[in-house]
Amino acid sequence: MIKRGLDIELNVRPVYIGLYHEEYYEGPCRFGSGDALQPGFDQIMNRQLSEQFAETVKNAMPEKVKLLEPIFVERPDSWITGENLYETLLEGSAETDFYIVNSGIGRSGITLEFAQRVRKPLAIAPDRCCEVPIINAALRARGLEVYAARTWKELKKTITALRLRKVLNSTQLLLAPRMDSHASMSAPDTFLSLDQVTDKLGVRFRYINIHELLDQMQPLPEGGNYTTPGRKTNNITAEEIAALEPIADRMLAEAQEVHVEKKFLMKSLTACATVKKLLDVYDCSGFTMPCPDTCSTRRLNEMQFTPCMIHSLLNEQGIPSACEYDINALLAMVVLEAVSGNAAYMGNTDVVPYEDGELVLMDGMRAMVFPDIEDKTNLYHTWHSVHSRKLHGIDRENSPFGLQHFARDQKFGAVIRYDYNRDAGQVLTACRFSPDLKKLFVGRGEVVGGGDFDKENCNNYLIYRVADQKKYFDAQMQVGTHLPVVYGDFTEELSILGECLGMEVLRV
Amino acid sequence: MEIGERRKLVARLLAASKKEPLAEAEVINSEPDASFIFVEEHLRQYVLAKYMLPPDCKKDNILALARLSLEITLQLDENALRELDQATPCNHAKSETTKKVLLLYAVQRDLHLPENPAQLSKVKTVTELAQYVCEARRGFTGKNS
Repeated sequence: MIKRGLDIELNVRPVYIGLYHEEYYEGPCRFGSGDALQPGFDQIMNRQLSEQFAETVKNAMPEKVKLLEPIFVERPDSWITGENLYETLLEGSAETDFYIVNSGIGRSGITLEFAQRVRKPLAIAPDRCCEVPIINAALRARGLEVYAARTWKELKKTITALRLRKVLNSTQLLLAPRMDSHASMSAPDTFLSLDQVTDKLGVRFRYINIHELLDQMQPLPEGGNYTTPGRKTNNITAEEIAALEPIADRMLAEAQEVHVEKKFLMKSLTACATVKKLLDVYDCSGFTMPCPDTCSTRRLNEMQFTPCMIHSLLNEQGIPSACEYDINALLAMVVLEAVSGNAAYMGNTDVVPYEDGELVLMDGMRAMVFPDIEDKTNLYHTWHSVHSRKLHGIDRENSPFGLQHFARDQKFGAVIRYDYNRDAGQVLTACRFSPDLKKLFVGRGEVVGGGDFDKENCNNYLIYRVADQKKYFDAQMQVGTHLPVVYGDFTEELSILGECLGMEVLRV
Repeated sequence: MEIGERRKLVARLLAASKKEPLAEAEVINSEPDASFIFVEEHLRQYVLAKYMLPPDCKKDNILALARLSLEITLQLDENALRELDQATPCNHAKSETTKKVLLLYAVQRDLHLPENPAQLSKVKTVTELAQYVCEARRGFTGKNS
C-alpha cells in the first residue's frame, strides 16, 4: 500500500497536571483569599483550566495533527504521589508522538519524572510562566527531548517540523538501480551511505532491478519476463493499459499546446502506471530510477518513453519521484511535499552570476532563450523536464500546461511543459541534505519567470531570485546540484526540522 | 459620583451580593424534594444576586454572566479585577474563570452538596447547574474523580 507522506499525522496529546490544597492555610505560596483558599476549590478550578487548555491546544494546532484524548491528573499539597498518577499519565503513550504539558509550581517534578519515564518529545504550554525554562533546563541537562516556544504560533511550527521527522521515519522508497544501488552515473552527490540514512532518519529502501521493472511495463508474456523466466510478476495488464486511454485523452484535450502523439503519451502513462502499481506492491511512497544508466541500455529507446512523465505524474499525486536516481533529492521532495501539500519540482540548479553588467551563463544555459529580466541580480536557474500541474496544490485544479516530446528525432517521451512566468513573485522553498547527513540546505527564493516552454528534450526552466546569491551558492556547494523546490515559504519549519535531526541548517 | 458615595454604594452592593444569594439558597434547602423548575428559578436568582446582575437578566452561560458581572464591578471598583487575578496567578486563570469557579464552589457549599469536582466543573450554564443540583441532591450515579 502507498502511504503518502503528506497524509501522515502527528499524534499530539495535551496533559494537564493540577495541584490541590487539602487544608485551608495561607503562606508564601498562597495567593487567593476567601473561598479560593478553601479545600475543594482547587479541584473544580483544575478541571475548568484543563478543559480550557485542551481547547487552546486544539485551536493552536497546525494541519495534519491528530489530537489525542487529553490526560488530566492532579496532586495534593501533601506531595504524596501515588503510582496511579503516573499510570494515568502514561496511558496511550505508545500512540502519542508529542506531548504538550500544562503544569506549574509544585508539579514540575512530576513533569520531569513523566518525561523520564515516557521518553517522548514534549513541550510545556508556551503561556505557562516559569514552567517553560524550568522544564527545559531540567530535561535538556538529562538529554531528554524537549521543545520551547515563546508563543503558540511558534510551537505550531515546531510541531510541523516534528511531523516531518515522523514522515521521514515512516518513509519507504522504491529504488530501481541498474548497476550500483548506492549511486547512479549522474548523481554521485547522493548520500554517503543509505544505511546511515536509515539509521539517522528512519527511511527504508526497497529495490527493484531496472531491467525487471522495464519488463513489467508490458503485459506478462507466456513463459514470464525475460529477466525472470517462468515467474509470475506484477506486470501491467492489458486492462490497466486500456484504462489509461481516457487519461491520455483528457491530458491531450486540456493541454494548451500539444507536441506529442497519443501513442507516445500512452507509453509514458503505461510506464507511470506500472511504477505506481509496484509502489503499492512494495508498500513504498517514493521512487527514483537512473537516467544515463538506463538510457544506455537502449531499452528506453526501444520502449519509446523517458522517465520524466513518471516523475511528473507521481509528484502530482503527492508521491515523491525523483530523476537520475538522486535519492538525496527524493528525500528532500518527501519533506517538501509533506510540509506544503504541493507538488515538488526538481532540476539541475545553477547560479546565474551577474558580472560587469552582464549575465554569465553556464554551458547548458547558452542555448536557452532567456527571458528579458530587468533586475539581473541574485538569480538562480533550475531545469529538468519533470514539470507539474500541481505546483499550487496537489488537491487543487491543474494549472495550465503543455505537452511536448523529449526525443528530437523519434519524438517519443511525453513530457509536461509549464510556463513559470505566470507565477512571477511566488515565494518558493528549496531543500536538500548534505551527502554526509550533517547539514540541511533550506533556501528561500521568489519566482522571476521561466522559459523554453516550447522546447523538446530536457528543457523548460524556472528562474528564481534569492536574497544573497553568493551565500546560496556557497551553501549549495555543500549539498549538491539538484535543489528540489515547492511553492510557499516553509523555511522556518524546515530549519527546525534540521535542528531536530541534529543537523547544521544552511538557511539561505 | 464622589468617591465617598461610591464606596458606600460598593459596600451596599457587596453586602447584598452576600445576603441575597444566601436567602435563595435557604429557600432551595427548605424544599429537599423541590422540582427542577423550582430549583432552577431560585438558583438563577442566587447566581444573578451573587454577580450583582439584575433579576431579569436572561443570559444562561455562566462565563458570560461572569463577564457581565466583571464589567459592572470594574465600573464600581477598579481594584476588583486585580484581586481576582491575584487569586490564581500560577494557574493562569482568567478573571471570569475564577469568578465562575467561585460561584460553583459557593453553590456546592451553600446547598450542602457532596463534592464532585469532575461533574461540577462540566457545568456551563445556569440550567445545567440546576440539573446538577437536582442530581446531587438525589445522589450521583457517576464516579467521583
